[in-house]
Amino acid sequence: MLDVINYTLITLICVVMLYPFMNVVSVSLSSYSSYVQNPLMVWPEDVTLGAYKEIMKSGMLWRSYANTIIVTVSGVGIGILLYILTAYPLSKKVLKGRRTLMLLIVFTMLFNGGLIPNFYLMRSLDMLDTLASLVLPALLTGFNLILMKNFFESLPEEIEEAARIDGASDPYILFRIVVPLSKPIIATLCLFAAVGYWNNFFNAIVYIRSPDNWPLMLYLREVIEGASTMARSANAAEMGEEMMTSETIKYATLVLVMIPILCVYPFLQKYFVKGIMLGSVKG
Amino acid sequence: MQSKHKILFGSMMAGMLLLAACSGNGGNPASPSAQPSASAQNGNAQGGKTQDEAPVEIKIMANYTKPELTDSDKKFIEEIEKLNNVKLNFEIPPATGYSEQLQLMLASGTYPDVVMFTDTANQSFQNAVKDGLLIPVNEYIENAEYLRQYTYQASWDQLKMNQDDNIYGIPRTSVVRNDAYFVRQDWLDKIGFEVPADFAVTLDEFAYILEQFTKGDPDGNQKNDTYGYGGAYNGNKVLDPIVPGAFNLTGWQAVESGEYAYMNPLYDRNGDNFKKALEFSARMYTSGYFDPDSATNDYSKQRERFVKGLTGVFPGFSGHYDRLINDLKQTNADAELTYLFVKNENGEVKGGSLAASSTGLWGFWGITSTAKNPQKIVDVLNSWISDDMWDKTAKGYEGLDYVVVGDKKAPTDPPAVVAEVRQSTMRRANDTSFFLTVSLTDEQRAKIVPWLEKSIETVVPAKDNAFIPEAAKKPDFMDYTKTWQQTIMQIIMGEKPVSEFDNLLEGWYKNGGGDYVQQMNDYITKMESSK
Amino acid sequence: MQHMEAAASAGAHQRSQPSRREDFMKHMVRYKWLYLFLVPGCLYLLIFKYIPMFGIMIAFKDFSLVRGIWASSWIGFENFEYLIRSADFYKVLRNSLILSFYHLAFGFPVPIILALMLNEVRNMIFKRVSQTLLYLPHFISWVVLSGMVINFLSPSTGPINFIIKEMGFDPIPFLLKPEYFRTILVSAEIWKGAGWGTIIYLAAMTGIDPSLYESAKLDGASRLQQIRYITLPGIASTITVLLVLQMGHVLDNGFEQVFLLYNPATYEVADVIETYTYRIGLIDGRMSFAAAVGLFKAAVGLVMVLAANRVARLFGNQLW
Repeated sequence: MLDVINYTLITLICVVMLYPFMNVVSVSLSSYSSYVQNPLMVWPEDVTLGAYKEIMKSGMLWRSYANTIIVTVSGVGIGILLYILTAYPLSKKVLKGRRTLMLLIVFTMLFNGGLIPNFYLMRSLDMLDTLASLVLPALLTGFNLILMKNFFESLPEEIEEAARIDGASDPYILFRIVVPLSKPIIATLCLFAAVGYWNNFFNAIVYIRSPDNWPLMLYLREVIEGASTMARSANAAEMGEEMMTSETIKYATLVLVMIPILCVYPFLQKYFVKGIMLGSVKG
Repeated sequence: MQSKHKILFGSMMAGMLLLAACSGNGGNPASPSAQPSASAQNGNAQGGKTQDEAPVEIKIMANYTKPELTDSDKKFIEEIEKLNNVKLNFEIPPATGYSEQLQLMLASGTYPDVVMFTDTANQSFQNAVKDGLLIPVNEYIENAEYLRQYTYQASWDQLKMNQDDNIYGIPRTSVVRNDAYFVRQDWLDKIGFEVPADFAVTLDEFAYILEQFTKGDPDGNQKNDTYGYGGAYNGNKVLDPIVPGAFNLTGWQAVESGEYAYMNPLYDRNGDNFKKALEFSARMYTSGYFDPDSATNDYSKQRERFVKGLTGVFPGFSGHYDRLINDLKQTNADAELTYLFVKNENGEVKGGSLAASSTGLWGFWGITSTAKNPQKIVDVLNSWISDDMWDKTAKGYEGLDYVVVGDKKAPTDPPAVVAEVRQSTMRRANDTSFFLTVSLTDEQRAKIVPWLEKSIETVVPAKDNAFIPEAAKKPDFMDYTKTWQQTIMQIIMGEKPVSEFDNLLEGWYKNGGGDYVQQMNDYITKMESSK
Repeated sequence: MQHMEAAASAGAHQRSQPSRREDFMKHMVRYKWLYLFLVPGCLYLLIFKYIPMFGIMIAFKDFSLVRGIWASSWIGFENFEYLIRSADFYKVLRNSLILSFYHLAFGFPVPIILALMLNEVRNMIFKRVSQTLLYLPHFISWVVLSGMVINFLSPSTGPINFIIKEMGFDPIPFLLKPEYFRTILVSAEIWKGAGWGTIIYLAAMTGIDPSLYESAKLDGASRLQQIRYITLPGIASTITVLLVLQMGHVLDNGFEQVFLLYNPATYEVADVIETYTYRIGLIDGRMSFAAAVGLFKAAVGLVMVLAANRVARLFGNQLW
């Protein structure tokens, strides 16, 4: 009985959550005049692939796609390693200065020097206008770090004790025992980090100069808001109406940007496996 | 376990290798991709320049919607480069990050030669002037005949930032207009209203049109689903009173009587023009003749709802006629458009505005102190609107931007990509032909020209040159701006009576408005006396 | 015997001073790997987070972009004095706090409840599909999402008002009425973020030992009881962590969604610190002002996090 209620409720909620996505996809596949008639549509009307054909012509779309993929893959790859290395010691009570370190980390989550100092830093590291400048500033976030530390703390100590008695060294314990048991949190952080990189545009605004190095989200933002940002400061009339992008183009670009990252979670879901602790410790 | 680590390390290695590879690519700051292909390396410029002089390199930071040049742009730039013996490097940051990039540019210590600023109130611009980063252009424009000819005096005045004679930028000019209203001709026919020959209606007639558009079922579908006025909010998200011109809200002007020599009807304690405007808008809004969504509509929603056939009156620029009618006809095949101006009580059509006066300045180019050859920069901008180039600036090139059919220009098929750099770098004042695009039919052209001309003729220039007095930056004044905006909207939406405005204005004067008016008067007096 | 004891205690007394250093060395040798592991992370934080923090000085200077941070002149607490003297600031502060509170009270539990519901689903396919569908709105930008909200609530063409009109009432312009704003904003935020928020809780739930459920069932516990006594405690530490960290953002309301959904008619409740700073910045544009406000928010957030952690410590779930 409870199951029926549960399933129904979840289905209803899923429908509500699904709606924005359906609307965006539908508009991207419809003509502009059908959009105007019915902006809240859930199904495409007057179906046309015109918007997609139009935007796929843009070389910049593909280049920024490539940039973002490179940035995301390297950022997540390096980041995960760094998270594991840093969170593990923090999860050990014996670590001296643990409290201070945690405080320092929380501090970085709240306080920020702002645009200019970060720019100066990248400049002195000679990394302006490189993809590295998009990877490095977001490599470690305090939030993810604390999540992983928290997870490590929840692992029973007996497992590590047993291994240590058997003569295992710390790196062995970390990489051969703790990490395999941490698949859910690693998968979660991969997802969070990947989405973080994929959706980030601000770093590009600060560090990137050449259009060849634009990440995907910056390109998307330009498509959706570029003309209206300019229209806010100038007069729409001067700009010429041709410059105002139509909603169908905006949404088609949005769909193309969303699709890859949406596929990451389903791929990672198999790591969210219950009961991985079963059998690791006996007695 | 092991395989997982292999993946981890593998992606890490791959990532680092790729990073290293790609960093080399983009890490060269001296090679922005926006460069025209064939450059003026031959130095074979017209006008008798020697072949020995190397072209002057000019680095330009500009604000456009696309960061890359189109073919039409490149061709045009080549010509300009040859004409002036220069090499132009455009750096076009993303439009959504332009203000941040302006700040970073100032902070970086390495400046381009020319920088586009959107308006004089922009803080980066004011900082740049204050810190001596931008140089006055007076000496360089002495021989720039086209700049002098095709720029509004008010634009130059607006750029005199220190209230002396020093002009701190080259204006990008756009035509100063008194925009009026697109109105559904087919709906007018249905309600039996005849459009006057001079396209000007009285205020009562305008109110009548709004009323009938809402109540008279002008689209004939037997449903009560239309509204008269398609409203939207302004840049500050405020719903403004409409038809300012009909109430003589013409900005800062000289007045005969009163405490001050110059006054803006918005702040006039001795006049009630603004109150009348508020009352009119409130009446229209509360009667339901406004699109109910007006207060939450931005410009694109406003346009969408007009195109959809929900509203019948749409404030807009007459030059956009063809695109508007095309979109309109896709949803309503019978739709027709006309353009109406609203007369004031003396039967005149006057351009009104609630914001700072339009001086024709649509952004401007600041020349930095590190520019090696400011004269060349001015020459380039001058030649952009020269008689030789203007036709190409406005219309482009055959084959790329238009095709020639018979003896006229016609649009290409598929439609040409907009060459923003070519046509949005510099423009001429008072030049309506610019807006008569090749996609217009003769019939459409004949229709629009009287509207364009009337828009220009009925402009009433104001005297403030978009000046912002220091009083406007005081905390009390800024806080009161919020109260002002809230109250205006509440009055228009009918939540507060129009008489509330008297209290509002009194409060404004108390919270720094008095200083504001005084400083504005001082400014205008100074500018007027130097003429 | 006594002799030896005396000698031993004398020896022990002699050893207490150097023994502390010895202990420290022993500790370092034994746990050297822990400290080595920390090195890259700490280096990263130092370079990329702490070095740029000198920019906080901007809040205390009359910052000129051209002159740079060092050469700009010092104005001390002028910016903060402005904030304190501005009557508007208190209103804005109040709005920020109330909005955060609403977001916390209504928005924080939703992902938890959703995760609990999903956890009870046995059908793997249904579970996976619904997990994916739930987080979709997270990827749609606020610009697009707020446009949908505005269309939805439109007094002329929106579905909600359509129903209201059908029932015979006058349409309600929801976005122009201050009394609806907080509900609309928080609902939109839940719509966008709830599904995404379930992910971390679901991950935490996988760490709960299934044998606990087994034994509970054997003891005759109902589903709800199992949730209450097994699942919830199992994710308690995750909930605490997220709650404590959320406290740090008590004055962050998200500029984009507020800016897109507010207007002068709703300023009374909708104007928050970020939008206030934005509007001031447009007119006054003193960069140091925005920095000062940011510093203020961060300071308040820090105090809140420390306080929340204290409270969490009482429950044994502290962050540090």
